[in-house]
Amino acid sequence: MLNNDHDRKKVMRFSILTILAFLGIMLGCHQSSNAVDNAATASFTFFYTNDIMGYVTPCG
Amino acid sequence: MARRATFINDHIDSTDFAMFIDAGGFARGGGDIGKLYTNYLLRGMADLGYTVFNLSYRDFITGGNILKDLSNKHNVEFIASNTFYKDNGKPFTEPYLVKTIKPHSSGKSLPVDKIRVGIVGMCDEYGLLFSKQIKEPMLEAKPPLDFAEKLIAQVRKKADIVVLLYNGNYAKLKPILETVKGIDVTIMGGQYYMVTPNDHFESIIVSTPSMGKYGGLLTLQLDNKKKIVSHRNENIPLKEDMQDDPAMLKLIKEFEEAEKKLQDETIYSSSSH
Repeated sequence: MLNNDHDRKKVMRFSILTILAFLGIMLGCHQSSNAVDNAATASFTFFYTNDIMGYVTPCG
Repeated sequence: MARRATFINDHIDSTDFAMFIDAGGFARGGGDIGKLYTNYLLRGMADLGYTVFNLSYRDFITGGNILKDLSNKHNVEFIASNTFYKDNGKPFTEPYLVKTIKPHSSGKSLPVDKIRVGIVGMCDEYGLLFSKQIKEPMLEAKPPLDFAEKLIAQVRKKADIVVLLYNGNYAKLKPILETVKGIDVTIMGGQYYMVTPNDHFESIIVSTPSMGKYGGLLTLQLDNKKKIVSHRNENIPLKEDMQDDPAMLKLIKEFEEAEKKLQDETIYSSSSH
Protein backbone atom coordinates (compact mmCIF):
# COMPACT_ATOMS: atom_id res chain seq x y z
CA MET A 1 0.00 0.00 0.00
CA LEU A 2 1.23 3.46 -0.89
CA ASN A 3 0.41 5.56 2.08
CA ASN A 4 1.52 8.97 1.00
CA ASP A 5 2.84 11.18 -1.78
CA HIS A 6 6.42 10.47 -0.79
CA ASP A 7 5.98 6.73 -1.34
CA ARG A 8 4.20 7.28 -4.68
CA LYS A 9 7.02 9.55 -5.90
CA LYS A 10 9.58 6.93 -4.88
CA VAL A 11 7.76 4.22 -6.85
CA MET A 12 7.36 6.48 -9.87
CA ARG A 13 11.05 7.46 -9.79
CA PHE A 14 12.02 3.78 -9.50
CA SER A 15 9.77 2.87 -12.48
CA ILE A 16 11.19 5.65 -14.68
CA LEU A 17 14.76 4.68 -13.80
CA THR A 18 13.98 1.03 -14.56
CA ILE A 19 12.52 1.93 -17.98
CA LEU A 20 15.47 4.20 -18.78
CA ALA A 21 17.94 1.49 -17.76
CA PHE A 22 16.11 -1.05 -19.91
CA LEU A 23 16.11 1.30 -22.91
CA GLY A 24 19.80 2.02 -22.36
CA ILE A 25 20.67 -1.67 -22.30
CA MET A 26 18.61 -2.31 -25.44
CA LEU A 27 20.23 0.59 -27.30
CA GLY A 28 23.70 -0.52 -26.22
CA CYS A 29 23.07 -4.10 -27.36
CA HIS A 30 21.74 -2.90 -30.70
CA GLN A 31 24.79 -0.72 -31.33
CA SER A 32 27.23 -3.42 -30.33
CA SER A 33 25.43 -5.94 -32.53
CA ASN A 34 25.81 -3.58 -35.53
CA ALA A 35 29.46 -3.11 -34.66
CA VAL A 36 30.01 -6.86 -34.62
CA ASP A 37 28.23 -7.24 -37.98
CA ASN A 38 30.34 -4.54 -39.62
CA ALA A 39 33.56 -5.98 -38.30
CA ALA A 40 32.58 -9.51 -39.35
CA THR A 41 32.03 -8.75 -43.04
CA ALA A 42 33.91 -6.98 -45.79
CA SER A 43 32.31 -5.46 -48.87
CA PHE A 44 33.65 -6.25 -52.33
CA THR A 45 32.32 -4.26 -55.27
CA PHE A 46 32.60 -5.13 -58.93
CA PHE A 47 32.34 -2.03 -61.10
CA TYR A 48 31.30 -3.83 -64.25
CA THR A 49 30.40 -3.10 -67.85
CA ASN A 50 29.39 -4.99 -70.97
CA ASP A 51 28.69 -4.16 -74.61
CA ILE A 52 30.06 -0.61 -74.50
CA MET A 53 30.63 -0.94 -78.28
CA GLY A 54 33.27 1.74 -78.47
CA TYR A 55 31.15 4.50 -76.98
CA VAL A 56 33.86 6.75 -75.59
CA THR A 57 31.11 9.20 -74.66
CA PRO A 58 27.57 8.06 -73.81
CA CYS A 59 26.24 9.58 -77.05
CA GLY A 60 28.93 8.69 -79.53
CA MET B 1 33.60 7.91 -69.77
CA ALA B 2 33.65 11.31 -68.08
CA ARG B 3 30.39 10.43 -66.34
CA ARG B 4 31.63 6.90 -65.59
CA ALA B 5 34.63 8.40 -63.80
CA THR B 6 32.27 10.50 -61.64
CA PHE B 7 30.11 7.44 -60.97
CA ILE B 8 33.19 5.50 -59.80
CA ASN B 9 34.41 8.40 -57.64
CA ASP B 10 30.96 8.63 -56.05
CA HIS B 11 30.88 4.94 -55.07
CA ILE B 12 34.45 3.80 -54.51
CA ASP B 13 34.74 4.99 -50.90
CA SER B 14 31.70 3.01 -49.77
CA THR B 15 33.34 -0.37 -50.41
CA ASP B 16 36.31 -2.14 -48.83
CA PHE B 17 37.52 -3.94 -51.96
CA ALA B 18 36.92 -3.03 -55.58
CA MET B 19 37.56 -4.50 -58.99
CA PHE B 20 36.85 -3.07 -62.45
CA ILE B 21 35.89 -5.63 -65.03
CA ASP B 22 34.29 -5.78 -68.49
CA ALA B 23 32.28 -8.68 -69.91
CA GLY B 24 33.22 -7.96 -73.54
CA GLY B 25 31.73 -6.22 -76.52
CA PHE B 26 33.80 -3.06 -76.01
CA ALA B 27 35.08 -2.66 -79.62
CA ARG B 28 33.45 -0.16 -81.95
CA GLY B 29 33.97 -1.91 -85.28
CA GLY B 30 36.35 -2.24 -88.18
CA GLY B 31 38.29 0.35 -90.15
CA ASP B 32 40.53 3.13 -88.91
CA ILE B 33 37.70 5.00 -87.19
CA GLY B 34 36.60 1.84 -85.35
CA LYS B 35 40.19 1.20 -84.25
CA LEU B 36 40.49 4.78 -83.02
CA TYR B 37 37.34 4.48 -80.89
CA THR B 38 38.44 1.14 -79.43
CA ASN B 39 41.92 2.48 -78.67
CA TYR B 40 40.64 5.53 -76.80
CA LEU B 41 37.95 3.53 -75.04
CA LEU B 42 40.50 1.06 -73.68
CA ARG B 43 42.87 3.88 -72.73
CA GLY B 44 40.10 5.64 -70.81
CA MET B 45 38.91 2.47 -69.11
CA ALA B 46 42.48 1.58 -68.12
CA ASP B 47 42.75 5.08 -66.57
CA LEU B 48 39.56 4.37 -64.63
CA GLY B 49 41.09 1.21 -63.17
CA TYR B 50 39.80 -1.50 -65.49
CA THR B 51 42.28 -4.37 -65.68
CA VAL B 52 40.37 -7.33 -67.17
CA PHE B 53 38.25 -7.50 -70.33
CA ASN B 54 36.44 -10.49 -71.73
CA LEU B 55 36.42 -10.80 -75.53
CA SER B 56 33.26 -11.21 -77.57
CA TYR B 57 33.28 -12.14 -81.28
CA ARG B 58 32.72 -8.43 -82.07
CA ASP B 59 35.97 -7.51 -80.33
CA PHE B 60 37.90 -9.68 -82.83
CA ILE B 61 36.62 -7.75 -85.85
CA THR B 62 40.05 -6.23 -86.57
CA GLY B 63 41.93 -9.45 -85.79
CA GLY B 64 43.81 -10.91 -82.86
CA ASN B 65 47.15 -9.11 -83.29
CA ILE B 66 45.69 -5.68 -82.67
CA LEU B 67 44.15 -6.93 -79.42
CA LYS B 68 47.59 -8.13 -78.28
CA ASP B 69 49.01 -4.68 -79.12
CA LEU B 70 46.22 -2.89 -77.25
CA SER B 71 46.72 -5.15 -74.23
CA ASN B 72 50.42 -4.22 -74.05
CA LYS B 73 49.84 -0.55 -74.83
CA HIS B 74 47.21 0.03 -72.14
CA ASN B 75 48.40 -2.55 -69.62
CA VAL B 76 45.10 -4.41 -69.52
CA GLU B 77 44.47 -8.14 -69.75
CA PHE B 78 42.11 -9.86 -72.15
CA ILE B 79 40.57 -13.19 -71.32
CA ALA B 80 39.19 -15.58 -73.94
CA SER B 81 39.18 -18.99 -72.28
CA ASN B 82 37.59 -20.88 -75.19
CA THR B 83 39.48 -19.12 -78.04
CA PHE B 84 42.33 -20.86 -79.86
CA TYR B 85 44.51 -20.49 -82.95
CA LYS B 86 42.96 -22.57 -85.68
CA ASP B 87 46.24 -23.83 -87.16
CA ASN B 88 48.04 -25.09 -84.06
CA GLY B 89 45.34 -25.18 -81.34
CA LYS B 90 47.26 -22.89 -79.00
CA PRO B 91 45.17 -20.70 -76.68
CA PHE B 92 44.87 -17.00 -77.55
CA THR B 93 45.02 -15.88 -73.89
CA GLU B 94 45.61 -17.48 -70.53
CA PRO B 95 42.81 -19.97 -69.77
CA TYR B 96 41.93 -18.02 -66.61
CA LEU B 97 43.24 -15.19 -64.47
CA VAL B 98 43.62 -14.92 -60.71
CA LYS B 99 43.86 -11.38 -59.33
CA THR B 100 44.68 -10.60 -55.72
CA ILE B 101 42.73 -7.58 -54.57
CA LYS B 102 43.74 -5.61 -51.49
CA PRO B 103 41.60 -3.06 -49.62
CA HIS B 104 41.64 0.19 -51.54
CA SER B 105 41.82 2.25 -48.36
CA SER B 106 43.69 1.53 -45.18
CA GLY B 107 42.75 2.23 -41.60
CA LYS B 108 39.55 0.22 -41.31
CA SER B 109 39.62 -3.06 -39.44
CA LEU B 110 38.50 -5.81 -41.85
CA PRO B 111 37.96 -9.55 -41.34
CA VAL B 112 40.08 -10.31 -44.45
CA ASP B 113 43.21 -8.60 -45.78
CA LYS B 114 43.06 -9.73 -49.41
CA ILE B 115 40.70 -11.47 -51.79
CA ARG B 116 41.73 -13.62 -54.74
CA VAL B 117 39.37 -13.29 -57.69
CA GLY B 118 39.48 -16.03 -60.33
CA ILE B 119 38.21 -15.07 -63.76
CA VAL B 120 37.15 -17.23 -66.69
CA GLY B 121 36.04 -15.39 -69.85
CA MET B 122 34.04 -16.98 -72.64
CA CYS B 123 32.01 -16.26 -75.75
CA ASP B 124 29.77 -18.31 -78.04
CA GLU B 125 31.25 -20.83 -80.44
CA TYR B 126 32.58 -19.33 -83.72
CA GLY B 127 34.56 -21.20 -86.39
CA LEU B 128 36.17 -18.01 -87.75
CA LEU B 129 36.49 -15.02 -85.46
CA PHE B 130 37.45 -12.48 -88.13
CA SER B 131 37.59 -12.01 -91.88
CA LYS B 132 40.03 -14.15 -93.87
CA GLN B 133 41.12 -10.90 -95.56
CA ILE B 134 43.00 -10.04 -92.37
CA LYS B 135 46.33 -11.72 -93.02
CA GLU B 136 47.17 -13.24 -89.66
CA PRO B 137 46.65 -16.63 -87.98
CA MET B 138 42.92 -17.33 -87.71
CA LEU B 139 41.24 -17.75 -84.34
CA GLU B 140 38.22 -19.83 -83.40
CA ALA B 141 36.01 -19.95 -80.32
CA LYS B 142 35.25 -23.52 -79.33
CA PRO B 143 32.02 -24.62 -77.56
CA PRO B 144 32.21 -22.99 -74.11
CA LEU B 145 30.44 -25.82 -72.30
CA ASP B 146 33.30 -28.18 -73.28
CA PHE B 147 35.76 -26.10 -71.23
CA ALA B 148 33.70 -24.51 -68.47
CA GLU B 149 33.64 -27.34 -65.94
CA LYS B 150 37.38 -28.07 -66.07
CA LEU B 151 38.43 -24.41 -65.98
CA ILE B 152 36.07 -23.44 -63.19
CA ALA B 153 37.29 -26.41 -61.10
CA GLN B 154 40.91 -25.32 -61.66
CA VAL B 155 40.34 -21.68 -60.81
CA ARG B 156 38.14 -22.55 -57.82
CA LYS B 157 41.18 -24.10 -56.11
CA LYS B 158 43.15 -20.86 -56.44
CA ALA B 159 40.51 -18.19 -55.82
CA ASP B 160 38.15 -16.98 -53.12
CA ILE B 161 35.61 -15.62 -55.60
CA VAL B 162 35.11 -17.15 -59.04
CA VAL B 163 33.75 -14.94 -61.81
CA LEU B 164 32.54 -16.04 -65.22
CA LEU B 165 32.49 -13.32 -67.87
CA TYR B 166 30.31 -14.40 -70.76
CA ASN B 167 29.43 -12.65 -74.00
CA GLY B 168 26.92 -14.21 -76.37
CA ASN B 169 23.59 -15.98 -76.33
CA TYR B 170 21.77 -16.53 -73.07
CA ALA B 171 20.71 -20.00 -74.32
CA LYS B 172 24.41 -20.97 -74.57
CA LEU B 173 25.23 -19.63 -71.12
CA LYS B 174 22.26 -21.26 -69.39
CA PRO B 175 23.51 -24.90 -69.56
CA ILE B 176 26.84 -23.78 -68.11
CA LEU B 177 25.12 -22.16 -65.14
CA GLU B 178 22.83 -25.16 -64.71
CA THR B 179 25.56 -27.80 -64.74
CA VAL B 180 28.86 -26.26 -63.65
CA LYS B 181 29.36 -25.85 -59.92
CA GLY B 182 31.56 -23.25 -58.28
CA ILE B 183 30.75 -20.03 -60.17
CA ASP B 184 30.03 -17.26 -57.68
CA VAL B 185 29.32 -14.42 -60.09
CA THR B 186 28.45 -14.31 -63.80
CA ILE B 187 28.60 -11.02 -65.71
CA MET B 188 26.92 -11.29 -69.08
CA GLY B 189 27.17 -9.33 -72.30
CA GLY B 190 25.69 -9.97 -75.73
CA GLN B 191 22.10 -10.90 -74.86
CA TYR B 192 22.30 -8.72 -71.76
CA TYR B 193 18.55 -8.05 -72.01
CA MET B 194 17.81 -11.71 -71.18
CA VAL B 195 19.26 -11.37 -67.68
CA THR B 196 16.54 -10.65 -65.14
CA PRO B 197 16.36 -10.57 -61.34
CA ASN B 198 14.15 -13.69 -61.63
CA ASP B 199 17.07 -15.83 -62.78
CA HIS B 200 17.80 -18.51 -60.20
CA PHE B 201 21.15 -20.20 -60.57
CA GLU B 202 23.78 -21.13 -58.02
CA SER B 203 25.73 -18.20 -59.48
CA ILE B 204 24.69 -14.58 -59.11
CA ILE B 205 24.10 -13.27 -62.67
CA VAL B 206 24.20 -9.60 -63.62
CA SER B 207 24.41 -7.40 -66.71
CA THR B 208 23.90 -3.79 -67.79
CA PRO B 209 22.01 -2.29 -70.73
CA SER B 210 24.35 -1.59 -73.63
CA MET B 211 26.39 1.26 -75.12
CA GLY B 212 27.97 2.34 -71.88
CA LYS B 213 24.97 4.28 -70.63
CA TYR B 214 24.90 2.51 -67.26
CA GLY B 215 27.35 1.65 -64.54
CA GLY B 216 27.03 -1.83 -63.09
CA LEU B 217 27.61 -2.08 -59.37
CA LEU B 218 27.61 -5.52 -57.75
CA THR B 219 28.50 -5.47 -54.07
CA LEU B 220 29.17 -8.70 -52.18
CA GLN B 221 29.35 -8.98 -48.41
CA LEU B 222 32.00 -11.52 -47.42
CA ASP B 223 32.50 -13.10 -44.03
CA ASN B 224 35.88 -13.85 -42.44
CA LYS B 225 36.12 -17.10 -44.45
CA LYS B 226 35.56 -15.05 -47.65
CA LYS B 227 32.16 -16.65 -48.16
CA ILE B 228 29.49 -14.50 -49.81
CA VAL B 229 26.79 -13.85 -47.23
CA SER B 230 24.72 -11.36 -49.23
CA HIS B 231 24.84 -9.29 -52.41
CA ARG B 232 23.29 -6.22 -53.97
CA ASN B 233 23.25 -5.29 -57.66
CA GLU B 234 22.48 -1.88 -59.16
CA ASN B 235 22.54 -0.42 -62.66
CA ILE B 236 23.23 3.29 -62.28
CA PRO B 237 22.25 5.42 -65.30
CA LEU B 238 25.05 7.80 -66.34
CA LYS B 239 22.64 10.69 -66.88
CA GLU B 240 23.34 13.98 -68.63
CA ASP B 241 23.10 15.95 -65.37
CA MET B 242 26.00 13.92 -63.95
CA GLN B 243 29.14 15.99 -63.57
CA ASP B 244 31.93 15.19 -66.04
CA ASP B 245 35.29 14.23 -64.57
CA PRO B 246 37.85 16.90 -65.67
CA ALA B 247 40.71 14.42 -66.30
CA MET B 248 38.49 12.28 -68.49
CA LEU B 249 37.18 15.34 -70.36
CA LYS B 250 40.79 16.07 -71.37
CA LEU B 251 41.12 12.57 -72.83
CA ILE B 252 37.79 12.92 -74.66
CA LYS B 253 38.93 16.26 -76.17
CA GLU B 254 42.08 14.52 -77.42
CA PHE B 255 39.96 11.71 -78.85
CA GLU B 256 37.62 14.14 -80.64
CA GLU B 257 40.58 15.95 -82.20
CA ALA B 258 42.10 12.64 -83.34
CA GLU B 259 38.72 11.59 -84.77
CA LYS B 260 38.36 14.88 -86.72
CA LYS B 261 41.91 14.59 -88.05
CA LEU B 262 41.28 11.04 -89.21
CA GLN B 263 37.97 12.01 -90.85
CA ASP B 264 39.68 14.95 -92.65
CA GLU B 265 42.44 12.63 -93.86
CA THR B 266 39.86 10.11 -95.08
CA ILE B 267 37.91 12.81 -96.96
CA TYR B 268 41.15 14.20 -98.47
CA SER B 269 42.35 10.71 -99.39
CA SER B 270 39.05 9.70 -101.07
CA SER B 271 38.69 13.06 -102.91
CA SER B 272 42.27 12.90 -104.26
CA HIS B 273 41.63 9.55 -105.99
